[in-house]
Amino acid sequence: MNIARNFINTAQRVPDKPFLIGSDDSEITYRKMYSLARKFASMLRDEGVEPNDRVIITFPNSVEYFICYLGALFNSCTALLVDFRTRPQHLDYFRTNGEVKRWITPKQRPEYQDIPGQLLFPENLESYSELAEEELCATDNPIALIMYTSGSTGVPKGVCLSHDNLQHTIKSITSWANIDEDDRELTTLSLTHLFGLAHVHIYWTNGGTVYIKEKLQRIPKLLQQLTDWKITSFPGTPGGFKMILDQHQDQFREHGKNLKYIIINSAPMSPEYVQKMLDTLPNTKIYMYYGLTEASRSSYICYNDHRDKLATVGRPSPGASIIIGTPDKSIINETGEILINGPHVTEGYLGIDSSEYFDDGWLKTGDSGCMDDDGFITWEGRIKEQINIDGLKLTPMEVEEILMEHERVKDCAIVGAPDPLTGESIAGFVVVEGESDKKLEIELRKFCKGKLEVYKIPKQIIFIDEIPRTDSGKTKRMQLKEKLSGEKK
Amino acid sequence: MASNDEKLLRILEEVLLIDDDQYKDDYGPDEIETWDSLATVNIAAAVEKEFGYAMEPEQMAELECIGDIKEALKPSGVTFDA
Repeated sequence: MNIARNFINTAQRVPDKPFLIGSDDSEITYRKMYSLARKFASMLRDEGVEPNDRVIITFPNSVEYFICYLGALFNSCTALLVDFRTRPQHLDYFRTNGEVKRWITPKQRPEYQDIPGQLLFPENLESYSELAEEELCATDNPIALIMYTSGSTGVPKGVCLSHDNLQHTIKSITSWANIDEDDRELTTLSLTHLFGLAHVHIYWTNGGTVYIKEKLQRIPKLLQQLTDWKITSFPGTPGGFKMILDQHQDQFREHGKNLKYIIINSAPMSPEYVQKMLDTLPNTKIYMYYGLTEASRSSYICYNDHRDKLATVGRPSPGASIIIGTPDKSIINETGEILINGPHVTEGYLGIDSSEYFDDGWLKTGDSGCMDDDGFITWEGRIKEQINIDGLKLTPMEVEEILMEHERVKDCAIVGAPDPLTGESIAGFVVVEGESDKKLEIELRKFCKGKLEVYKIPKQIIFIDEIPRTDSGKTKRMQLKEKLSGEKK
Repeated sequence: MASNDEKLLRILEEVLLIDDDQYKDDYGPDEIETWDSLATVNIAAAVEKEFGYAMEPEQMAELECIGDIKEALKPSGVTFDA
């Protein structure tokens, strides 16, 4: 069933409940959102967007974003949700790769003006008529979402997520976190990523209210709002919570005391900080998920109930299966690749043969981990060359390609450097023509800033004479990582 | 010898990758896309290293623009031209 049907059912059940509270404190009820999204669906039709078409929606966290998203789903379209900070060349790639009809954005953005198919959010949305009830979600289009992730070759891959995949996730989380219509969530997560977005799916299914913030900033004020708005749920990343616990622990203790639950995702959190969280908020359930866009929320744990398992990411979620090793030979208490199966797992990537990413129906995650005798999984790292910055992932090649465009760069290699706050940060080893100095380091980072999303900009650049490579030309990244730890000593 | 403005500009250039024309007192996270709460922590660390003044978490949380950084440094005797 189309996940927008869940919204319609809720809008009919509790029309006057607030659905979203925007960054500017504007409140929108289920009834109002239902009406505006239907008007947007109608506008899409006027603009030639038909059921089964694909549209890109690239917005910051906002009420307007959800009007577009629900409007697209009402129109039986597939939505490609793209981070608002995505650079023009990436947006254009998603547009062509995804065979997208229109890309929708809130305002004119000069640097994107050459990309065809732009559709601005209409200022006169109220003047459109609502798409007729019998037209809503009327066409069977199994794919709800396409979300791009960093591919192992550096080329982003579009993960196709069906309505069935997402319905399963909604059901699974609702069942163990007991989310209901009295819940009120405050989110600072990017809602074009699945972690934050799936929560909104759950809320619109159950009739709760979501308070949207654009990003994690002005933390004392944010914590005060937990009290002011009687927030019951506050999801976040390990890096965000570490910062709050390190710098604002007393306020967190005071304002977070009525939180029903906290959900952490996107990257592992050290047991020390999990314990700190448990100590700070003793009456709040602290959950951790493990998953990836291709298989969201595959495992979970409630740390309050398993205090001897703080280093783990829990056991498989209801309906999900996880093994370590291979389908022929799964292993216990040994490290191997994490494989996932279940109704929440994507059927594959857009436009490519996805068979190499699956083994007999099991998704090969590229993560390494270990399962103990009780079925709890410890995440140990990446098998593939992917870097995880507090949940935001990239491959070294994405950054290397850009650095190589700089006229002074002869060769380069990117590695993930250990970072106390974000788990990893980006370190670039660079070989240049001529002299190198601090000025050039900043120049190279600024060069990346113009062409890459902010989180992909190297935090440090180290100039070296030669990039170590194997005889077959593969970069010896481990050797470079060792060089990093050597420099710190 | 570098002035305090030059020193602060150098810090912000390194942490936030701003250009000279973005060094304005009223510029903050809304104008500078690289400025998030993590960047604020890094700014505070760099400010401590350069000016020898350690900001309290509450002060850090109140840094909403470049002018606020200058204000935070004032009590320690660090002054700026603008």
